[in-house]
Amino acid sequence: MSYSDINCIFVKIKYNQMSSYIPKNLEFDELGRDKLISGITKISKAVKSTLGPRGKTVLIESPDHVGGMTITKDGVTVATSIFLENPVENLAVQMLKDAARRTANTAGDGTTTAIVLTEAIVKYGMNYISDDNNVTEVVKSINKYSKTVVDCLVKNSKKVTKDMLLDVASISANNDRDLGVIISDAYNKVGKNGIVTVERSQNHETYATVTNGIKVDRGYTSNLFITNHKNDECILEDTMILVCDQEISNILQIETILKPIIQGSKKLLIIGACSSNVVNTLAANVVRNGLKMCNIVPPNFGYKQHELMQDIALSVGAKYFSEKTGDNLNLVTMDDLGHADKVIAGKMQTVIIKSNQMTEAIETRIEELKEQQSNTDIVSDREFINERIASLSGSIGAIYVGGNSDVEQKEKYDRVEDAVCAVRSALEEGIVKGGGVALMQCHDMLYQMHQDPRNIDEEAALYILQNACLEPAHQILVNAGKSLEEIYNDKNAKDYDVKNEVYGDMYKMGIIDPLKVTKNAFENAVSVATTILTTNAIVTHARAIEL
Amino acid sequence: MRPVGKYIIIETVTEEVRTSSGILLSQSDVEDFRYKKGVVIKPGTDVTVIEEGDGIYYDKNAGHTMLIDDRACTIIQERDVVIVL
Repeated sequence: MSYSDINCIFVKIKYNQMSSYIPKNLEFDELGRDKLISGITKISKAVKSTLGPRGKTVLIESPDHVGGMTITKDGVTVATSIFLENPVENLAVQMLKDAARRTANTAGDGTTTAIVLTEAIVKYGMNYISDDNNVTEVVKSINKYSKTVVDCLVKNSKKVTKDMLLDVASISANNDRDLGVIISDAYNKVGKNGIVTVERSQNHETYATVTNGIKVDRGYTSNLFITNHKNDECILEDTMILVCDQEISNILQIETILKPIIQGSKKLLIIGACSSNVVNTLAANVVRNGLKMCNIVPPNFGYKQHELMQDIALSVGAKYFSEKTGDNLNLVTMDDLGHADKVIAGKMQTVIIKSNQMTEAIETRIEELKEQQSNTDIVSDREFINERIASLSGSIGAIYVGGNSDVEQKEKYDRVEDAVCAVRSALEEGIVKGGGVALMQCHDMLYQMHQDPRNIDEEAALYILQNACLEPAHQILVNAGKSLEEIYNDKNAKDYDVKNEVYGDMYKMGIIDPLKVTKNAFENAVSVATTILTTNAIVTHARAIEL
Repeated sequence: MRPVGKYIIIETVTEEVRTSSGILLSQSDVEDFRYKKGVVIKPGTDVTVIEEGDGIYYDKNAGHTMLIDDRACTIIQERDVVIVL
C-alpha cells in the first residue's frame, strides 16, 4: 500500500466521523416519557375510534399531495399514515406502528386492539408505578402476568365449528354475510390442512373454486423470478415441472428439456438444488430473454426430503430424478416432466395447483401411507406421514373476487384477504369471544389473583394489566356511545352485542375473534409498552440548530 | 509487425453465447468451457493452415495477453488452436 493510499483511508475515516457528527437532542425521565405518551395518545386517539361495529371512519389526505384521499375503518391504514412533527412523539408513533404491523403480519387483524392495549398499559403504567416501585421488577411482573393472561385466553378459547367459521369469516369481511358464506364454504371444502388463495375475478361475480394442490415449504431461489411484484410471488400458469434431488451444476445438463420448452414458449418449474451459476443463468434468462421459469429447492432434509420429493413427483406426474436411485439427469426428456395448472412460488412457500383430479396412483399411495402409519409406533413418524397424506390429498381453494368497478373490486378484495387470514388464524388456534369480552374475562381472573399476598411491584403490575384488559371492551362501547359501567354494572351480566344492542352469549351471537389475533395483539402490546415504560433517555436528531 | 515461427497473434472475442435452445449463458458459464473463441490478427511465419481474420477456438489456458499498439492481444502457438471456423 502506497503512502497516498494510507492517506486516502485516513481522510475517509475522518470524513465518516464528521458525517455522524449530527447534534442530538436529549430527553430524560418524566419529560421524555411525557412526550412519548402524548405521541401515543395522538395516534391511538385517531386509531381507536375505528374499533368495533359502531366505530367511526377516518379521513386521510393522500401522501403525495395530489388531492386524493382515503376513507377507512382499517386500523393499520390509519396508523401507517401518521407521522408527527415532534421527534420524540414521532418515535412513540413509530413504536406503536411497529406493534400494530407485527400483529397484522402474523394474525392478519387486530391492529387497532394492539394500539388500544399499548396505550392502556403505558398510561396505567405511568399512574401505578410510583417512586417506591422498582420499574424493572414491575416490568418483569407484567411479563409474568401477561403469560397468565395468554393462558387464560387459550383456556377460554374454543375449537372452530362449521357455523362459527361462517361467523369468523363474516365478521372479518366487515359483517358481509355473503362473502362470509363463500369463504367458509371454501374452507370447509379444503379442510383444515388446505390452503385458500384470493384472486381477482374476470367478471363481477365473486365465487370460489377448489382444486387439487400441494404446498411446499420452500420459496424461489432468486428474487428475479418474481412475476407479481405486489405480493412478491412468481406465478406460472400451465407449467411443466422438473423434479430432481441432485444438484444441477451446469445449465447444459438440462439443455435437452430447455430446448423444447423455450421453443414451444412453455413454462418450467425446477424443483431441485441448482448451483448459484445455474440460478444466475436462469435468472438472467428470465430478465433478459423473457423466459418463464422458476426454481425452488427441495423441501426438508434427509430421508424426509426423499419421501416428500417422491410425493411431489407422483402428484404432478413427473419422474423423480434422484441420486439415490442412480438416475442421470443428463438423460432427462420432456416425458419425464410433470405438469401443473398453476404454480405460485412465494418467498417462503410454493403452492402447486394440479389439473388432474386424484389419480389412481395417488390414491394407492395414500392407502399405503395410512397402512404404514398404523404400523409405526414412533410419534414423529406418524405426524410426518399425516403431513404427507395432507399434502397429497390436500386441496387448494381459490376465491375469485369480482366487482362492478375497479374500486369496488379492490375494496372487496382487501376485505376477503383479511377474512381469509382471520379464518386461517381461527382454524389454527381456535376462537375467543369478540367485542373485547375475552380480555375482560382475563380481567376478572387477574382481579381474583389480588387475594394472594404480593409485593408492591407485583401489585402494580397486576393493576396495570387488569385495567388494560378492560380497555378494548371499553373503547368499543365508547364508540357506540355507551360506557362499561352502564352495560356491565351487574356482575352476572351477559355479553352485550353492541351492534344489535341486546344481551346474550357472544359465541351464540356470532361475535368472535380468532384467538391468534387477540393473543398476538396482547403480546405485541405488552412488548412495546414495557419498552416505553423502561425508557429513561431519548436521543433524537436536533431538527434545527440555533446559531 | 509479424509473429515469428509457430506463434499467432489473436484477439479474444466476447459475445453473448446462446445454446441451440435459445438460452443465454452467463459469463461464468462460458468461462467454464475449456476452449475460447478468438479472431486471428496475424499468423506467424511458419503457420500454414491459419490465415489472418480466421475465427478460431483455442485452449483458454494457453498464451499470454499483452498490449500491442494499445490493443489487447493474446499470443498463442499454432498447436493451441483446435478449430478454425
